Amino acid sequence: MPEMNDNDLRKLFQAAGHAKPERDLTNRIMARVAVTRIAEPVVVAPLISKRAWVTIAIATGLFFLCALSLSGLGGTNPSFPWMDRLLDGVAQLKMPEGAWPQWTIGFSVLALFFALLGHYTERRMRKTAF
Amino acid sequence: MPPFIRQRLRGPRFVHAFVTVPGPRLVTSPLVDHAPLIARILEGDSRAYEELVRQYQHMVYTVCHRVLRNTEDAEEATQDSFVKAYQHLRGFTGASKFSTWLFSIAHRTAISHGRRRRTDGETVDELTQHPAAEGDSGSSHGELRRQLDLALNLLPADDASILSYFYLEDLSVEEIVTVTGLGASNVKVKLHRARKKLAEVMERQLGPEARALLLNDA
Repeated sequence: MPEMNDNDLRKLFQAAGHAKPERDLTNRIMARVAVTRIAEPVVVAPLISKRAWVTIAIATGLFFLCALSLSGLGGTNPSFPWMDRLLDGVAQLKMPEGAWPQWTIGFSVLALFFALLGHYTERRMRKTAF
Repeated sequence: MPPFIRQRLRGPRFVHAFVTVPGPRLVTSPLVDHAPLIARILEGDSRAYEELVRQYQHMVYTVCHRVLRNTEDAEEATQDSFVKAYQHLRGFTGASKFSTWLFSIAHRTAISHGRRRRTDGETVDELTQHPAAEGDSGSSHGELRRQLDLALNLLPADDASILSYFYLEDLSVEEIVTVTGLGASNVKVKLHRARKKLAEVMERQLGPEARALLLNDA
């Protein structure tokens, strides 16, 4: 009993050939194509690119470094009173009162929800784009 | 169309926008499949698309029929596939062959037709009423295709499709990955299992003498 190997299968498929539709579909396809517009492809592009984020991070870091050096360590700088006010405000920041675990869990769940929503939306968009 | 922006948060670090921009243009290099023809279509000569339709019509219909196993649905899916391909022609950059790109559209279109059909109620062609093409009735090729279709219809649709892509369309595993969206190892495993199962089905269905005769005919 002959075994079917790769070549046999290939010969079989090639000999059987393609299925042919009952009617010629060309005219029907062209009739639909005639009323169809070629769309511009959609590109998912970040509003703020990675390079922009790095620039923002570096600029923010430099700003705080300058602020710290100008305000002086443990002292005040009379030339930049707004810096003192800013640093005082930061020092006076308090954590919200209440039960910590609930706050942490709540915010984590919210962040996870948005991350999953974004991931799901992106997958859906990728599936529909060719 | 004026650009629109829909903002959504994706995690704590990135803000992504969904923007309509003029997309990648087809590189009209002679290395890109059908580049001159596609360039003509993109310039507005929609009749040039007819050449592509005539060339790939049977292949796309075969892809759709393997998935849907129903003549009417396969014809409808074929039409939808070509219309979608025309609509998204600007998105074809030549990174893959035109046929691979077209097959991926046809495969996904057929699958979404199949999902829609499952909610309405399945109808599979009666294999005894499988339409023979013109000039094909009673020929050995027609009979061969009928027997092969009988065997393939006993396999799951995605296995039958993968076998078709590999043996009939001569696609590589990487190209099948592009078309089906499955992983490479998944495709290899399915191919291996489907090959074995097809051989078993044909042996059971046809009997050894008929199978040998069929292979000799092929």
